[in-house]
Amino acid sequence: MTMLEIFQYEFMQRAFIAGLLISILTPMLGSFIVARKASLLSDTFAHTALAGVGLGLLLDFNPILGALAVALVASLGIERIIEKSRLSNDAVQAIFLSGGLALAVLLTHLQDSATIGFKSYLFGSLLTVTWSEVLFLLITLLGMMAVIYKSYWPLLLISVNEPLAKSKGIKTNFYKTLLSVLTAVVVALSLKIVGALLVGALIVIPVLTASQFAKSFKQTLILSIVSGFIFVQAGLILSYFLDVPSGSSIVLLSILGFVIALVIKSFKR
Amino acid sequence: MNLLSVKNLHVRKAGTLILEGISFDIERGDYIGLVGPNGAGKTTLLHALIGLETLDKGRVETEKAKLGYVPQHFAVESFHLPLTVSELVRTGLENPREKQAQKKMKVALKKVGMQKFMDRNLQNLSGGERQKVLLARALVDEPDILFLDEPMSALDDPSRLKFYDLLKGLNEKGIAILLVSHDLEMVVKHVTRVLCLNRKLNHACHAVDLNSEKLKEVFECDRFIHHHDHA
Repeated sequence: MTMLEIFQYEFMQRAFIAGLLISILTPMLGSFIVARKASLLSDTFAHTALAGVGLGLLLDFNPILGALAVALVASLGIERIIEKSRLSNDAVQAIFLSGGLALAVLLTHLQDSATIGFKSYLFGSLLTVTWSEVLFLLITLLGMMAVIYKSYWPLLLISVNEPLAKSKGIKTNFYKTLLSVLTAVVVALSLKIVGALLVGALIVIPVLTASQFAKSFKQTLILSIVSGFIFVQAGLILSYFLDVPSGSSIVLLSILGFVIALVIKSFKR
Repeated sequence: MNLLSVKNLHVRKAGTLILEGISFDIERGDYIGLVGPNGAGKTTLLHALIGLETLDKGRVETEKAKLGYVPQHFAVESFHLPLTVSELVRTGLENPREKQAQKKMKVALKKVGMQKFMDRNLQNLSGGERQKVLLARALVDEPDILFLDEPMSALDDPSRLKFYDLLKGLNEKGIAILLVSHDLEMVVKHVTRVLCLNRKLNHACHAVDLNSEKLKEVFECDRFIHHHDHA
């Protein structure tokens, strides 16, 4: 089978377009998330969002919508709880992470047929992406690009140093919540392509790979999108030919790419 | 004319009163050293002045004075992604996308002698160079008052002296400066006024009038300083 034949199948067309959109979305946001050392946050949202997937499967509505709703609630809830309580950031996230997963397991357990569908949200399954989800991803990407363009400098400054941002009169809580909400949206929408257990890697690894070569934050952002694009597309092709879950092939290729970047950089020194 | 007036300022943290009844003014041309023992509330006071603390009581009034802030040296060290000098300096502008941004950044970097470092990665700079970039960042929007929080604590002696020279030059060009430092001897040697803080404002006097009696009251132990001629 040649490469061109892959694209004859409509489900592959959908997968590649969705992959393209995700590969721009995740590193674009990931640059700010990594800069703020909030990488764990994406994993927290992904696990929490699974409760929404479970609810969708049980009550027979689109699980991605369930994931989106639960992830959004979690993104706002975590910020509030950290603000109001004296609990540390990672402790609150750990509670949401395991709580979400536990709830998801319980909800899918209530209906036998749901268990099979549930697995594809854990590891990603390109076969199941629909055109309406592709459209939703496209709208999200356009919205996200507008938000990032508008908020680029405040987001960068709160990532570099929060007091510096506050002293400039920047509403740091607003931008922190904004970043958190954007992360929740992207994570929920990525569940079908890479899966809940692996989406964190797609947010972080392209950024780390890019940072090996980039000389500025702007370059990191651009290069991370390029590397994300390569990892996702190559991962999808590999997934098709080897018949392995797309999330697994994308993430393993990303790690391979990152290791190669590290080796090249160490030779350059 | 007062650039900034602090009136009966109280700040409480987790129920404990950290600052009590602080009042003073910053005037154009002032060069103020804020000194006091550890835990005296120096950084808290500075943060209260630039809007980083919620006030329990009292007011901080500014007559449209633009404020510039230079944080402690480790402020940007924990940022692990590539970041150029110009990217950091640009964040000091009210509108980083303004047309004059590039020109303003060049001017600010020239003021601190770092104009050749514009495209350098911050991670590859020394502590002293990084501190100068933070100073340029604070200067880029042409502030009336500069607030500096222990800016020289990580610098070696030669860089420290150069930094003091830099501040003196800025002050002579009309920028008021409030400098927080634990380095009593150096501060008193360079500034014109001293605020001695230990939760309350124990003394606010000209640097030359500071004596060991006043210092003992603030630091609660014997501290001596040698006055140098302010030529």
